[in-house]
Amino acid sequence: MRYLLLFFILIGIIYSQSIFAQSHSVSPLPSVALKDLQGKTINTADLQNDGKPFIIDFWATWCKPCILELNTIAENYDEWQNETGVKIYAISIDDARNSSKVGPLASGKGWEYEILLDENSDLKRALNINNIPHTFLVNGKGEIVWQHNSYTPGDEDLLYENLKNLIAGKPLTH
Amino acid sequence: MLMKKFLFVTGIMVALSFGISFSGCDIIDSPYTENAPTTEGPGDTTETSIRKVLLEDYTGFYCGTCPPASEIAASLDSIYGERLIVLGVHANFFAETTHGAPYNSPDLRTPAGEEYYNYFGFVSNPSGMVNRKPFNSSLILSKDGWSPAVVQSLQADHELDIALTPAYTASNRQLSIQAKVTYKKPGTRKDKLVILLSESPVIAPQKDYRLPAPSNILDFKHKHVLRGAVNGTWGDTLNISDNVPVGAVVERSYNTTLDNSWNPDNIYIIAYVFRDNGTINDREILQAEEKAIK
Amino acid sequence: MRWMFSIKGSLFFLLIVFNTILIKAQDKPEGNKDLGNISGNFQTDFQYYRTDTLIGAPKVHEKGLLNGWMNLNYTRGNFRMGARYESYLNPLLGFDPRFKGTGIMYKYAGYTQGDLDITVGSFYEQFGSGMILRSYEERQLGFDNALEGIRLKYRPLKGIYLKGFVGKMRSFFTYGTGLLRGADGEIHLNEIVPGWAEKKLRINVGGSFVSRYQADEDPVYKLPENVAAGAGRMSVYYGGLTFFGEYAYKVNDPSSTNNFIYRPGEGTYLTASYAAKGFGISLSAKRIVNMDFRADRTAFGNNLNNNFLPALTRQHTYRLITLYPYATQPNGEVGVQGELSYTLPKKSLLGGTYGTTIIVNYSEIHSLDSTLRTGGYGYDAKYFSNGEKLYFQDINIEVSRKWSPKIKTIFTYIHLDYNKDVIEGRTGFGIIRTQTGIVDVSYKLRKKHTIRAEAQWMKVQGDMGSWGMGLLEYTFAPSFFVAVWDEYNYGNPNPAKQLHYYGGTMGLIKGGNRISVGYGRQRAGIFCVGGVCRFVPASNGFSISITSTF
Repeated sequence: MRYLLLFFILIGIIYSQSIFAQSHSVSPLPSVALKDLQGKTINTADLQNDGKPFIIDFWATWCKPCILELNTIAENYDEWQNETGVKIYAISIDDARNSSKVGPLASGKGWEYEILLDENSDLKRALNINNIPHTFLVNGKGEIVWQHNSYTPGDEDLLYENLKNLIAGKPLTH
Repeated sequence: MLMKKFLFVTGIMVALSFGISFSGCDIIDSPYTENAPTTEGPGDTTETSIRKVLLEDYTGFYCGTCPPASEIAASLDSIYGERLIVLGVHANFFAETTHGAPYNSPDLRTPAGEEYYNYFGFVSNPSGMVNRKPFNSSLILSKDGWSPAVVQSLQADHELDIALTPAYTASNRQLSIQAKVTYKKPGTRKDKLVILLSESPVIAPQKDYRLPAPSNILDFKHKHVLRGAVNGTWGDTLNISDNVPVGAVVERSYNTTLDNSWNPDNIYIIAYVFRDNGTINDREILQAEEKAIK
Repeated sequence: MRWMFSIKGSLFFLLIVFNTILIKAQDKPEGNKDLGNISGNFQTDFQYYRTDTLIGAPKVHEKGLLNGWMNLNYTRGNFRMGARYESYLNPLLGFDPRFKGTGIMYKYAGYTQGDLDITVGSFYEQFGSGMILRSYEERQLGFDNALEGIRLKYRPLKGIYLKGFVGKMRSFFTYGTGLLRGADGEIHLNEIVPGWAEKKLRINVGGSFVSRYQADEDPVYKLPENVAAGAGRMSVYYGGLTFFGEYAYKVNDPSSTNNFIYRPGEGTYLTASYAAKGFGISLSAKRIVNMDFRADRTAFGNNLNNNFLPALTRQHTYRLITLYPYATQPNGEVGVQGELSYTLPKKSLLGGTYGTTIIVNYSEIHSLDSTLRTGGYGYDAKYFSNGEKLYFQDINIEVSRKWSPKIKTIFTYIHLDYNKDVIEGRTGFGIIRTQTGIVDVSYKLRKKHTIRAEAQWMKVQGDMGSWGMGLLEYTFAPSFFVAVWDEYNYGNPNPAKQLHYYGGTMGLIKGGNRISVGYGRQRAGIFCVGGVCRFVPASNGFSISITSTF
């Protein structure tokens, strides 16, 4: 009986999602204090890329698909930057166990992203992320316009396609 | 200007931190223990006139961290005498007989014990409950929580008395029990009487991680081992209506046969009355009683 | 049917739901800025259990168990509020059964005004590296020690960050007895000292303080009612070099975990690292003495921890090696860890066309060099000197390489020694020596279609013997995945226990939604911490998991 009720709630949520999801709403970046690799406090509401869109990618040193995604994008990052001027903020949710290894690992892999540390998962919670990897596309005004959960090889193509669509003003594919 | 403000703020912070650090802690010097309180109770010393509390110790012979808990239970038992009744419930993983010799016999589990373990949400051993009432918001208490919980429980109201009259026939191992509940405070129709049998001691193996490997004590004296429920895991309802008056007397009788593996000389009846308000944290035991059958 | 709603919680929740409907129904993206923004997420995990006597999977009376969470957050300008509804009906196996129930335990409202930020209700917080305070949520492990009360954050000057709180800690669907209060201050010298703003050398210093009040109701022990802990930390950055050190001290805190001893607790944590393009190295050292710190001195299990003492070891993710994870021994340990990552450049001799990345990691943890002291104090422990017992040692190397546009591989070797007696709190097993080799190959069939295979082999001396594992995964970007695997305990000394733990999973992803179904056998686990033994049974069954972010 309890399961039936929960099931109906689930259906309700999915149903309401699909109704209201017809116009995927745009939401501003929440204001959370993170640290960069130089110990400076960065407020996420102030993240910007000179008016150009940017990408926020959540990862952790122990998350294999996250590292795979960032490695795969790294292969084309130069090209992406040349074509679109995009910037990627790779936000690590590694806690005190691994946070001191984040900088050296990212450098050791040759990544050129902006690494930010979300040690107590404050931004992850503010963005309602369930699990990583989770990627967001943010427009020039600092609003989240697209997000994707999980990584399967080939997802970076969808991300890049949407980035280009966003710049060209075309609708995004979800 | 900025420098002045900076010095001012830092000065406040340093002063605050000194203040906080010196006031926010208690350092205790040895000796660290004090004498246990004397067991003063109401003047009347007849068996049926005092509040008695039930301490349940959920354990298992394969649980190597459990002997310290049984020692705590035993020391509380000796401090509080007849005011405290201890029940050892052997249930779940650490009481299973599948852990290889010598932990393949005897099987000290009971259907009632397993049901209590699952219903109250036990997850690890040793742990226990005092009168099935949450203490400091926890129903399930680690062994170090038993002492303060017992002290607090003993100070609550004396709700009712349970008088037990057993009659045992050795030839056919038949046991008949007369239970008489006398209310000292008003009763309700949610009150239930449960009659359990326990055996003390039971000689069986016990793992003790304080000993070097293999850490086995082969002839451990397990005290107050729950052997079975005579009238069902959750017992019998005592009253059909609410507002049972003070002084009301309810009687019940039961018959049961002792299992052949039990030693009748060591068998005790442990009876308790609880008020069943329906949820896990609200089925508090009002009074307990213990009586040897011989 | 009765749902355990608290009046406050349900009012909060209804308020937010009402707002959701109101705002969503208006459907005006530009208008949202005036009315605020609603967001949230949802997750549910359902498992159906079958009895499997071979692996020891017990009968689950309810047959199906379900965990579910829903977060709703509302923000408007500087104001925010939210709540989380949770259901454990009944909690999945492996989750603490004390979670049984349903209701709202997490709810908050907050406001930021200039340099002051106020939160009332539930909040998470960490001071420094978490050695004296860390309140966080690890949902998949069933861990949530949220604080509930009042928290303030204040920045009196640019470069000075102050935090303070008072609250109670969550314990399943109720609160721990202890009252917690604390404060933290951090100064970023580069923002304060004139002329330092653009300096290459950056220094941050910080200090924190936490105190727990719990009445002494114990008839035998004289217990300290106010237990305080303090910590000081410093970080130094110079280009690619980073240094961090933190020292924590806790006054006498007799508790169930440390067996009611009266010695103080100490924690020391030091790290140094250097990062340059294509190269990174980090070293860390840690010493913990009696640092278990809880909101209730008699708490047990993964419940009511005030602080976070993470293992100073590499967090492995490949399946077989997770049978031997290290857990920090809060009563005392000394450890070191080093990690080096290097990418052999593209087109170099050893690097190949695409480059090759090598990561080498080493960690070693020992007991404290301690001498017992009688009279309830506990013991004395020498500084940074290894005790006689090895708790854990792990040397591992990982080589990842892309061979062609279609093929990528990761080769891993792990040599790990695990003191099962100490880590699991039992006797009779000694140190388990293991060696593991893993080959992880992914092959791109064509655009969007990838297939990946993993082969793992773990050679174990003692305990359950050696294991082998194979996994095959097929993914279709961006929305579909399917995987099957089998773990085989071929080396078990008991032939009847040489079992296969097989399973499979399949799922769909779209935007912020993900649904997956799985079937399989899971092995059991047993561990003893702080004098209490816990058993997680094996299971066999079918599961569904749904997550959604909106």
